[in-house]
Amino acid sequence: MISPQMEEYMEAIVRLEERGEPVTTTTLAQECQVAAPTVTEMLRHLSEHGLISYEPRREPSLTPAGRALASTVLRRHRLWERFLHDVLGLEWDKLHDHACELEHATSPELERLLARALGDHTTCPHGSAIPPEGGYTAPTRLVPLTDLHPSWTGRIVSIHDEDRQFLGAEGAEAIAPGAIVRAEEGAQPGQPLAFIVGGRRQLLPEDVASRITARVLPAEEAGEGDDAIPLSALAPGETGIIRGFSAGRGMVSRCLALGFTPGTAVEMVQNAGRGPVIVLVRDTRVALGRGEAQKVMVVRRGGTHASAR
Amino acid sequence: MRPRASEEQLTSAGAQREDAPRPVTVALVGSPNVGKSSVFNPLTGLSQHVGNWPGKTVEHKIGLWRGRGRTMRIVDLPGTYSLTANSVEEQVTRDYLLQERPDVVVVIVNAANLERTLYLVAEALELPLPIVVGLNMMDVAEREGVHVEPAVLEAALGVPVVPMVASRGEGLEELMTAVEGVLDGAYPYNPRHPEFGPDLEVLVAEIDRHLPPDDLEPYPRRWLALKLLEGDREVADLLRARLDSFRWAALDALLRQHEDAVLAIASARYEWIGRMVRAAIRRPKAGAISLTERLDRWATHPYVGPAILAALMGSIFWLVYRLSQPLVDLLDGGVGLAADLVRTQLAGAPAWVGGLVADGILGGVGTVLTLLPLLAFFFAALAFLEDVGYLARGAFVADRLMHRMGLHGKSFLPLFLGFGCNVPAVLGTRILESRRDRLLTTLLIPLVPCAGRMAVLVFITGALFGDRGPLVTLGVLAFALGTVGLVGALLSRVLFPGESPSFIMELPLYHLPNWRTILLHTWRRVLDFVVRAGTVILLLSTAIWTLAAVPGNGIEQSYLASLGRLLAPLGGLMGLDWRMMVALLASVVAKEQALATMAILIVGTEGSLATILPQLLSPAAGLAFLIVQMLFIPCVGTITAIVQETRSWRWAAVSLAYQAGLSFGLGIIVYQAARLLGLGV
Repeated sequence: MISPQMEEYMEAIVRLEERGEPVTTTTLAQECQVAAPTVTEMLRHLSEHGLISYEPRREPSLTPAGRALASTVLRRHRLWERFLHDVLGLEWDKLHDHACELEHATSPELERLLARALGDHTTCPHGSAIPPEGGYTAPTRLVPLTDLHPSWTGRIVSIHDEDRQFLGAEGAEAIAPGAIVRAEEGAQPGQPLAFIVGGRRQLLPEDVASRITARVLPAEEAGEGDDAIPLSALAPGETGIIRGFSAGRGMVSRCLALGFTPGTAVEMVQNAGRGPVIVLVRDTRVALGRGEAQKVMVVRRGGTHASAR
Repeated sequence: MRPRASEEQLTSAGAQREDAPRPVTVALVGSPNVGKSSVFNPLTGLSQHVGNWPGKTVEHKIGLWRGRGRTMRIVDLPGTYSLTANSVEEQVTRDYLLQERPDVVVVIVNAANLERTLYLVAEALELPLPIVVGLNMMDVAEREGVHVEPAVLEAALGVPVVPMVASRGEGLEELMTAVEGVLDGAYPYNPRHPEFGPDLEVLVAEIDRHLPPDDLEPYPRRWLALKLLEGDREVADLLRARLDSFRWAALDALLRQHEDAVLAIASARYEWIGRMVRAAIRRPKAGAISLTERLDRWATHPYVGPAILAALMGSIFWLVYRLSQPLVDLLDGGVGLAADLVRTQLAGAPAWVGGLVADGILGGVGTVLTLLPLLAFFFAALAFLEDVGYLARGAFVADRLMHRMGLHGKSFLPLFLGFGCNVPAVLGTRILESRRDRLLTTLLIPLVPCAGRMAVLVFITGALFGDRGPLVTLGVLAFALGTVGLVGALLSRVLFPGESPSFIMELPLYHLPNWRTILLHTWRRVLDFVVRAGTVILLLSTAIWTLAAVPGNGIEQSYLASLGRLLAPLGGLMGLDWRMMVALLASVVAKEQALATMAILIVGTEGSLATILPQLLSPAAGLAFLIVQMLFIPCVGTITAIVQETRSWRWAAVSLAYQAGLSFGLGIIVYQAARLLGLGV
């Protein structure tokens, strides 16, 4: 699993970000006091664990999961510094090293007790901010479109029915659950917000945007800006990759147990255009009602079958 | 969340005393279509005991295995795809595993469908229970061109994996040896637990922080955290009760923020499974068209499929009646002989004693007995269709039609069975997963004209309408079926608004029937019916007989007749006199009783019912009577079946009330409309 050493690197990346310094192999090597090749090796390792997205010669960036981990480690580090300084009276120059040891052995419960014992300090003895508890970008975070940062990519999860009517036929088709969305920069207060949805620009009033929820995608998924379509739209012989569901909890849970997980290939076996469909998923034939098939969002996979259409 | 079933109830012998050592308990779990019953049946034979889980309409099967000087209790848990409480089956299974803590859990998986059926193994490995995997259907897998290496899978999972062909009895001994190995510690049990990757692990730790710090027995903390993230309502309710409102709000907010963690968890489990099976599976014959694929081209074809379904259903009816009629006649004759014997034996006693025993009680016994052959054959036919894998195809084909009534395809089978007899139809609703579908289908079945009502319909249309009889028969039938559709559409919106039925169903591979499983299943269902419904039917029919016989002087003076006279004003609106109302009431014993009662009440010394009836009923009144009798309150057998399946008298009462209202209402409308059209006298 995640070793203390890996946690150290993650912490170092946030520290650099916090100081506004570029995150490069060189700066990281300095921060962690190791040689550059070691850093490259470690970055690849972290990337394999889904903690950062990293390509050689590019600046590594934290995935939401990585950011979560890193800010938790940083929070523990600074809480320990506070404790060692305020309670135990440890000298300044020894704080950092001891905290580095302790932070990796801290359970969530210990972290909470520590925070409570210290009162609500917001900074470490050096004056840096202690990241708030849980105040990180989580792996599966849902945000309203108004909070979607321009550097993020989101997938629309839900939209209110009244708003769907407001959007009109064309807009409602584009802004549907499963669609990929990015925010445009330079939003002005009081002006409609601009979004790129499924490759097209859409203007949305702020109140409407605030009622549309999107999931912030991890970096590795964000590259695929392709459009999701309902499973029911696949013709027999076509294959789709599952993106998500626009359905209630119960149905999602049933689908998942049957093997309909995001990223899985589904082949349409029978689809008469009306009535239920038959699909092949994980070597199993599954019948779905039309209504259910409309709630499973897939991306059509180009293949020999699809081109025959 | 305390154990709903006490140890006493779950002990088959019921004789386990506290000082006696608790027998070793082995729980059998598995997804649907993995051949779990073909493992359970041969292991336990006829020692099995079938009941329902306390307060649930889910079957609870328990049996004893004896071998090599040991006795083990084997509990067959309902088939489930996962351990999230989406259905009663899943709830029952996981409550049992967590609260009763069996000594070993045997998870049966399908070698032909390994990835998907291992999902339950991935879930079970989160529980603090020893696991043995039964790798069943090795033969089917080979036929499908899938070669599985049990030893590789065993090395990957770290738990015993036993290859089996349970339908041929292969691997059962080895399975029990593996169970013993785990129990005795002879097997180096070292299970691998599913890994979720760093992002999810951080999240699980975060959820754990929000759980109460104290002991949460019998629930493992990590399991609770995972189920919360998977959106399990029951676990959420449990924690809401254990946490103060402030802490719950914090946890709830966190869960909302990670609403789609459920996707990540399922994906992670499947990824883990993928890694486990990759080395263990070989597919040399990829690309070959399987038997299932070939058969499905026809069975699920948009036009051929329905024809196959209709043909299958037709031949089942034909077969069931052909096979059961001689038995029914035999039983009927037997009961008649018994009644005669009783009458002569009781000749000295007051007349009512002989009547009560001969007609009341023995008549009730007759009702139950004559139902049995019919039930047995229908159950066997349904079990056969399910076992070979056709049931799911039939449901698929019928889905569009059923959808209009707010139901989905699976409800078609029980509804269709209703044409034969409503009783097995109601009992057949057990194949439906959701409570909503079961209830709605149960409420609709009594509207489907059964064979008894068809007999009355054909007789009366023949007597009243002569040559045009068949046409009127068809018309009334169409009217009744249209009513089924309309009532279904209406009830689904009124009683269960907003809940749309979700139709997601695995189409299993076709395979040869396992006769042993089918026969055992049929035997158990029939026995179950006799034990639980038999006595109720007996009591109810005796009660109605008593109403018709007391205070004496024939049925004209009876309480039943008084009740009929009381209803006469209502009958007047439909052109029916009190005698016809009594005939309707009598049809509650059994639908064909309507004719017998009419014969007693109407026919004096001369003529037959067929000749007298036209003088008594105008065409308008005749139509009204037919409509009412088609839709009238269910017979005693059906009422009992409804009570048995819904586990409450409430839904039986709902059924009685709405059908009484519906049938009389429509009867009045039809009569008045027909009169306006000049069909009155």
